[in-house]
Amino acid sequence: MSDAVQDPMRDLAPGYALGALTPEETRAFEAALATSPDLQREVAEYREINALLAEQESRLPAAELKARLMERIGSRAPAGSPGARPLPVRRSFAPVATGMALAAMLLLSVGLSLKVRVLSDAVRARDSLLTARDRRLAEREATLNSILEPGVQLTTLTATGAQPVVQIFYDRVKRRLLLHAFRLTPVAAGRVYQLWLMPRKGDPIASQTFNTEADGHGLVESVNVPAGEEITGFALTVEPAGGSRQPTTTPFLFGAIAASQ
Amino acid sequence: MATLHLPVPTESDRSLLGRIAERNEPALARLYDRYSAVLFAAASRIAGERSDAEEIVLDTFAQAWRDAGQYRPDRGSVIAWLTMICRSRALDLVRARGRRTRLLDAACAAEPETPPAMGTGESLPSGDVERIERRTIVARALSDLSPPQRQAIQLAYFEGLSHSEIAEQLGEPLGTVKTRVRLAMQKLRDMLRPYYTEPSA
Repeated sequence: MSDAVQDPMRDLAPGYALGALTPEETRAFEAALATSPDLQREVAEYREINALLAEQESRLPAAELKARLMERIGSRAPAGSPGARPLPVRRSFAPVATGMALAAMLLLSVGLSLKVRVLSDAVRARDSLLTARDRRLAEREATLNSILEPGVQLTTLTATGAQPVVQIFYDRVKRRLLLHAFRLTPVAAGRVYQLWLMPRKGDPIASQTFNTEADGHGLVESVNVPAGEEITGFALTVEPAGGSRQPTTTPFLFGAIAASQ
Repeated sequence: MATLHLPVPTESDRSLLGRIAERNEPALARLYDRYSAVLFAAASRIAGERSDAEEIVLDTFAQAWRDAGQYRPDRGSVIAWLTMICRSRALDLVRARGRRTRLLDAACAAEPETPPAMGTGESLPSGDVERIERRTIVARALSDLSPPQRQAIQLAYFEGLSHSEIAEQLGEPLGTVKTRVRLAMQKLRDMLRPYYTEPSA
């Protein structure tokens, strides 16, 4: 793209990132954006500004919202539109020969039924919230346990250059580990780091994939170790995004678990 | 057995999103805890109605759950990605139903020297020191803008108005408004560049 064409487009970048352009301007800008890495970078920078501006304000949504989110994405998600809670249609079963007393009883019954339903919905919402909180607490407890329990062993994976360091806190009893990386440069887009569990016999066992922050820090919690395998060490490779079943690159970090204490 | 005295760092946004891509619900819950308050505030300012803002936040995190695998770290931070999704949904909503005059009036009644929206709101729930520091820095950058530029950001970012809506409300030429918004954003970018990781092309 020539500069003559690109400069007016560049002027539109802040407005595009803000969503302030007209539909026509948006279409023209997006056409240019698709082929211009410079414009893509520019828009991405303005989106970072948007994110910084967003942090200027915070306001807590309703506590139930999180439970609704977990319900929506989980297996318990109700079918149909989110938030819709269709009440079953009550059909009249014997309209004939009903007197006033029966009508009153029906009304009372329907009224009570609706009230019970509303209360049931409220209880269900509260249960979902409590479940989400319990899950969060359990997760935090598991993290603490994973590094603080007496049986936890620390294995440090180091490279020959001693630059990146990865620590593995492995709980043999619960067969769970926590990975803490530092000075580990983030891998490029489309690639991930992958942890490998080294059994006493056989091939490496594929484990968690992750990437690190720009400052080289990374933390992966609650990684399960398959039952029935005696793990003697850990290794790290760089793999395509999504991970691999077997290492496709040479491990650049390796650490053996110290003999049992 | 080694004695451990390591501070346990908070799991990074990218790591959380990586786990979300692998369908890890606790990771989504954690990302929600981290950013739902700022996204809810952003959605509330644009959408107005609390119930709409909550639906927008819900949709934003549901989309994050669905599309986590498509997130490109080289294109920006996780919060920039989430903010973009949230604002897009909020703007789509208000533009579909027509602009809210009530909030427009409120926005235009604000003194440009002291925009009420900037730097206000409830305190951050997490007590995240880094985030509080960033808020201070961003507030300082906003105060360094000229009053008209600050008003432009107030209307374009915080209220979600388009260039033409701002021009109409302020009774100023469209070109003037566009220039003002652009210069304000460029100035913010130049001042705040040290506080975010520059995305690659």
